Amino acid sequence: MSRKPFDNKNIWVIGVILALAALLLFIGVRGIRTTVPPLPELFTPTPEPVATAALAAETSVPAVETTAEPQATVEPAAGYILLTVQNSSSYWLPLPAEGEFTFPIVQPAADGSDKQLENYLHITPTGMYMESANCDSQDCVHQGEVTLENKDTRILYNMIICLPNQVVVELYTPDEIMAMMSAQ
Amino acid sequence: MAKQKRSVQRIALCGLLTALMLVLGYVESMLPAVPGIPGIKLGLSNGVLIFAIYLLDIPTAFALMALKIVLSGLMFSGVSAMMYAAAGGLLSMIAMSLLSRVRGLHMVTVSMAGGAMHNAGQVLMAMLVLQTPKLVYYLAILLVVGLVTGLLIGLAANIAIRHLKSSKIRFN
Repeated sequence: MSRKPFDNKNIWVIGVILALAALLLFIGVRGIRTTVPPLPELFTPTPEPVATAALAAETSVPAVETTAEPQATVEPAAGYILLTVQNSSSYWLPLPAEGEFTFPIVQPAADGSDKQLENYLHITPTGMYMESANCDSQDCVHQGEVTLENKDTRILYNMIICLPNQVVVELYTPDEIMAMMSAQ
Repeated sequence: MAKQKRSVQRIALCGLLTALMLVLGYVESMLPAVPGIPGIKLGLSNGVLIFAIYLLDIPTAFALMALKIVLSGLMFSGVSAMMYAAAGGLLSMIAMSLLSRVRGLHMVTVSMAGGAMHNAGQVLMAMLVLQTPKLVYYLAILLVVGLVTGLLIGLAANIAIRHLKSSKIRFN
């Protein structure tokens, strides 16, 4: 061939994309901590036979969850899960002190058909993972477990995302929440 | 008369390429997912689009991309997933068609940029849908992964196109 096999312009293009990726990485690692979700509210469980049966049978979830009036918790939970559904509703769930359970997230389908969008989130004292879901791609189930230890090193950081069902669950430590609230 | 014959030839060729892209899309969806990085794809259809950009013309390439997105959405992944593929495909086609016009840029680089932009488009669409800026970290990772897959596809397409150019088949 008459021209050089690898011109300088090629390196420029690749270099620009790599630089963009590095910049985004930097922004992501630093900027992620300053986005502010809505303030924590105490979660009141909606009547759901599966969930309450599971809760009653298996765990010693702190009493805070079943009372309707807000109380100041003397000691914060090890972590808090922020569950966002269809980017409109968000709920905070504290991690249980001991025991583990599966939390169902069931929504009616957007097009009004009978099939519901179901995600089952398994919550343990140290973390969470998506146990099963009825989305087509099953990416959320394969995303593995988010624990307090591995959340900084995961690719998706502290999130598990089910894109078809529009469910985002994130695991925050109390320090991060304090930082977010004071930055607000 | 010759022009009609050429346009019929073009239609047949586009049909062939679309079928090829659909089969490649199906095959790459059967590969096991990488645990931890959801949504990573090999992007084999980009190879066919590179062929279309370099040996056919750019409007044809855009038409092929649109056909592939609609048809593979209807056949495989579902209508709601189509918008992510559409965003990724559009961004990647714009990048590839612009970069292919720049003199001195190797086909492999164009394919790398196309692969990276494809992933970027998909993640940007996801960020838009979920209204969260927190996926920007994931976008960075997928840009690099897209560069790597684009490199592989570009190398394969390079060899294929070089042989096709030197053969007697006329595409125009």
